[in-house]
Amino acid sequence: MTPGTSLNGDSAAVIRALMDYRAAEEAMRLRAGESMRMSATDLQALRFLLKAQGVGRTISGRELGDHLGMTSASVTALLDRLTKSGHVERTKDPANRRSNLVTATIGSDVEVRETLGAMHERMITIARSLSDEDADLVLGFLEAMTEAVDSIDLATA
Amino acid sequence: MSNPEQSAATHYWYSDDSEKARSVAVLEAMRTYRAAETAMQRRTQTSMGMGENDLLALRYVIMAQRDGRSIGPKELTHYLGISSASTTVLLDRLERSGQMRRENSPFDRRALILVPTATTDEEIQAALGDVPERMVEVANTLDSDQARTVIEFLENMRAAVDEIDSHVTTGSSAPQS
Repeated sequence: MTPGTSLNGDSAAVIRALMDYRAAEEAMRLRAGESMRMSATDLQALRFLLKAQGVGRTISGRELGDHLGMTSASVTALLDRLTKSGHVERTKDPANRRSNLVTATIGSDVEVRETLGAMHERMITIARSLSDEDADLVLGFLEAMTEAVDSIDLATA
Repeated sequence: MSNPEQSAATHYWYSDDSEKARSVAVLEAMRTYRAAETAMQRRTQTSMGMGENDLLALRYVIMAQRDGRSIGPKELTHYLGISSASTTVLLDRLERSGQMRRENSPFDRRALILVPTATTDEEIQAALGDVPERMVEVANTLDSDQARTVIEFLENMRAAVDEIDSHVTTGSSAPQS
């Protein structure tokens, strides 16, 4: 335990619930990828593309790489794989001939929805079932936790 | 909860749309937290002593034990999405450092189960690594009622993500095949 700051029963349970959620989420990513016969990163790429397309944004290969924290060589390999399986299409960017635009296909939209749709609906239902006050509490808690982990680096960990 | 009058008054001002916005904000906050936590782990991985997969593995086995399930090397391999050879190396390492041990399954002599060494809450907390002090401080700001609300929310969310399994039938619309 961290010296100096003690965890009382309540806060230990809160931390545990947060970590259990995160562990379950990591496992979900791996399983969801497996059910679609792709890696968790491939699935993450598809979700990013579909989300951007949903709000009418076009994504270049480079932006995708930045989002995933991957080198351009790895992104190329990922896109080769997803193009071959029919999940994405690459087109030349009309505004920049040397850049590629990446689009998720309608087929992959349907597939992701079928795999993750029920989970998303359930998460939305859970969030909506919070009273205003509880939603504010949870929001404040998550924001404070985000700030806390943002402030942790090699020196303080 | 703490001030029903204010809550009712506030509620009056919130149309359906802003209620929707509130739940979207909560989901966005979950996502932002996840991204921040992933980045933090990437930054601190080397200083925490244990690698990310080791920590995930230990947490997975301990959580399963808490739920009364035992995990074998095969399920752990599946969970981590690594090769079985890497799992063997990982288990050797965790066994050497005394974090868990392999035992013969009481139900199947040829199968192994993974048994975490930590048994008490305190040992489990210690095994899972130090909780960064800043996170403990945030958790400590909640009173009992608030802690219960947050825990219930996180448990519901966990149940939602646990629903996804790798045997989901993706239907005939799958682009590949």
